[in-house]
Amino acid sequence: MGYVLAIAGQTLTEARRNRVFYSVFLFGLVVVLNSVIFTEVTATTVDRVLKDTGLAAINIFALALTVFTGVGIVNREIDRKSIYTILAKPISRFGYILGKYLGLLAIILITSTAMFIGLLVVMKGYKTEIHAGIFLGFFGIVLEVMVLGAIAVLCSSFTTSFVSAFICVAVYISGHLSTEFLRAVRKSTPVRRVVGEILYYVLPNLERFNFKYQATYDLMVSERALATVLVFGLAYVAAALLGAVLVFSRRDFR
Amino acid sequence: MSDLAIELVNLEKQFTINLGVRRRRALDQLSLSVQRGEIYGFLGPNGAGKTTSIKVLASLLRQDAGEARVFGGDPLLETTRRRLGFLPESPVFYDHLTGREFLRLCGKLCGMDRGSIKRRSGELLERVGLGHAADLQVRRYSKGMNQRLGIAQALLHDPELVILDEPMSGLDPMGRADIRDLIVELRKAGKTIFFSTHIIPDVEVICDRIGLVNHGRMVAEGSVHALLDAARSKTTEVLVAGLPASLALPEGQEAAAASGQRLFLVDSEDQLTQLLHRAMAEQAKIVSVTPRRESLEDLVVRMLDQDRRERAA
Repeated sequence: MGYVLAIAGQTLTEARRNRVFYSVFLFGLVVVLNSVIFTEVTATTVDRVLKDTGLAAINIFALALTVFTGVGIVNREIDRKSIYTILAKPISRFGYILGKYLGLLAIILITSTAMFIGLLVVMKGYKTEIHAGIFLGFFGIVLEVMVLGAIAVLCSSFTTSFVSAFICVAVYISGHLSTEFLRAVRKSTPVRRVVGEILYYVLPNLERFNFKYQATYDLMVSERALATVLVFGLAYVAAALLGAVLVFSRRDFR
Repeated sequence: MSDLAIELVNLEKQFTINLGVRRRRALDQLSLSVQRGEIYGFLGPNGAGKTTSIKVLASLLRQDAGEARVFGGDPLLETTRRRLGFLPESPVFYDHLTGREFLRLCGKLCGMDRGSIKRRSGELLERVGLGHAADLQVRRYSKGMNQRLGIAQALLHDPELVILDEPMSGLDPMGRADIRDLIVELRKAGKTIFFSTHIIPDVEVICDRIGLVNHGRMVAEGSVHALLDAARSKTTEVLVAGLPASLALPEGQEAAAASGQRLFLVDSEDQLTQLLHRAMAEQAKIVSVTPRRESLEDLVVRMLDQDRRERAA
């Protein structure tokens, strides 16, 4: 499976040379500006504001990076026909998809970790205490973008970047509103209820990864709850990648 | 062990067009075979089914019916593809990688070790004339340089079979000559080469056998010499000087006359003998007697035209 890592490495190199990682500097600017503005207008809760806005900024940047990089990760190669040379090599299509996903994951992890370290440095600068809660918040963000990245790869294996981006954003929004959505459809007609419940169970409940409240107020969750969320996230990633492999394996490249 | 490097048997492929409303037949019971160690030229007009057949062999397309085998194995299997090198038509690579980095990636995909990748990449970049541009990003390459890099990546893992889709495309005459020499060199090294092209004179010079495809069907297949011999015209051209313009020679059909010389075409040896005797009797000078030979290009055009007429009928 050495070739899987080679594909992942190529994906990472291409992103690096496309200056994708410049987004980290933009993030740094946002966090510093935020902290300057909010510390001026906030009287007592500087640390909470820093954590809250910092994690929210990491979430938005990581999400944007995942969607914009992920949605074209396979179909751009199909459109440009650079995939012809690669798939004719003695590699499996499963290995290709896995390599592309691991490359995307590496891009997301490197940028998110750099942003998180930046946030910790700013917090240290403001002499804010760093508790375990902030790591929990970051863990939730990483899991969420891992799931969305897998969905982006799945979409990219069968449709255009535009449609893929639309689906990813729709999954993100519905994934955060799924509990409210389920509550609403349960009061609706039987047909809507059935459709709504199917959607609820098919789409990921992204609120499970939202630990920003715990991060802001330095609260912890049980190890069991953490493990459940981790297993849920990884299972969803595996299911999305399996779907991508099934679709991609049957594709003809005209 | 099969003696065949490639075997296509009754291959069929249809594509949907116009949003799936219509279907277009790209391959229609196409069969061909390529022996180990030969150079096989795959000819045909645009849209004849050459690239579709090649993509089936490279596992980029799956046939609807029929069989495709490479060294007796299914090209969909990785173990089979390990034995072939493939150059797609108008190849495109990763813009942000250098030529050397791209070859390194290809080597890893083929399971080569680091030392072999480094050695082969260096050799091949020099061999295809990209030594000076090895560390330049691919986006700065010209079309011809891309083509050369494509050939290098196809040969990197030293495959037994090399499949090249339009390898001469985008190359200047020097580049074409280089690739021709490389193909001949590969055959000397015991490789099998299967390539599609529109440049028929190249085929005539280097190919052992050719296949002519049209509308997804094989129109003719065989050795270049056998096809040309079979199609050799019995017509002979006789150029005569000093023959009065008013004198008719019923033995031959007059094709042209200029500068006191007259050109006659004869269709049999008897006619030729009679015409020569008559000309000498008239004290004329026989300038030349040339059997009219059809070039491979003429032959291909004639066969395609015949195929078109047969289809129309």
